[in-house]
Amino acid sequence: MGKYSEVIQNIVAAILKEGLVEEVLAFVQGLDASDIVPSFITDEQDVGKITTVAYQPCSLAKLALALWERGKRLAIVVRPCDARAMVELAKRNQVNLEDFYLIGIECYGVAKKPRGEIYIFPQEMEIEGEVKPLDEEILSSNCRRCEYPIPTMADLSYHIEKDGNSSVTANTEKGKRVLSAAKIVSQERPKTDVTPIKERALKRQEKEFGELKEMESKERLSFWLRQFDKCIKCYGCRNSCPLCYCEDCYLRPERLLIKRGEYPPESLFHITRLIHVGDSCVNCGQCEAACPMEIPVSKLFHMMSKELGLLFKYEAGMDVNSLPPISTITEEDLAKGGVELA
Amino acid sequence: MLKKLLEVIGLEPERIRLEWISASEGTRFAETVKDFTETIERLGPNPLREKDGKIQ
Repeated sequence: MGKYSEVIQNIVAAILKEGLVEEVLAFVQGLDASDIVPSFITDEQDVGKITTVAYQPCSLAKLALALWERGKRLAIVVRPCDARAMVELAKRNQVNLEDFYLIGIECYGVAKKPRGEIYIFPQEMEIEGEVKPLDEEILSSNCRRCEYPIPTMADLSYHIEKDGNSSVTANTEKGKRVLSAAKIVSQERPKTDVTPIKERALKRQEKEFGELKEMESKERLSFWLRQFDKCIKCYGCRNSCPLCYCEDCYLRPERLLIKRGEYPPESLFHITRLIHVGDSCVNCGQCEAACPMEIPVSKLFHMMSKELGLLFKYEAGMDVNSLPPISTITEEDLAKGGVELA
Repeated sequence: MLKKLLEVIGLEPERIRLEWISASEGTRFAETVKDFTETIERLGPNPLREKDGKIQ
């Protein structure tokens, strides 16, 4: 729907027609522009419903992981965080990237709540056709901290400007195949500078994480324990996280770590999740969006993954060939400050 | 990673220590254990420990 989705719709229609993929997973518009739902599309007649409205009700990577059969080919219209989640899952042998065509759209943040026809640009936002300066408050909190607006890890990156001008860049051989099926010429990404976006995100991180780092360790502990005390153990954060893929979850009551029927659950609930996905967190913000008690979970996970990233020079989801730190750790790494085991 | 986790959540990372000591290094073993015990005594009990079934 809308002028900003046309190119994506054409690409999807073409690859379905050419038989490049069996199905396409994308967000489509339901009753109105505030009703955004994920959908598997098999018929090229249905591509008109695909929308690029800046709202993301769930992680498409999670759906692809849970519902897709290995060996069948699927294209997914992804924002950078979902593309990174797919890369992380591939590294951990949960999906085979060969099965997937990732059609990446450039993303400068998504709205916290559905707000109708909303599109976000680096400095402006468009709500129901009206262009205004960007108000960061309407963005999801993880998006305000996000440094990766360009889906370089996806097969295609789709760039759009507020005047409706767009271009598509193929990042991989698969991307080129998609574009030749859609008869679109791959263009160099226009040289808009993303450094200001990155700097804005880093400043935000500094502010949010700095507040916590400045606290005494006791103060920080009691801050998080107070937050965890709000938990009603709905398992929303676990169920919405694209990187929580264990089939036999350690947090199930049968595993005896978390007592059945106890609220709030022990703080180990969150700490276990933190140690399981801390190094692979791509800051997609789905955990926090799912939390009915407004625990700032994504802040905790993002902070953890950033701290680990600094230590091990690792960025989750950027490159499928850079393996998780835990599997590549060397004697040299162990000698670094902060990792000392002695 | 565990140390970073403790730091992020607000526990003292010194609570964890890993040391490789051979069976022939009796004195070093004793010293290490003594040293670590002192550290832990200084830090006090784990604030996450349950008291009367409730986390303090």
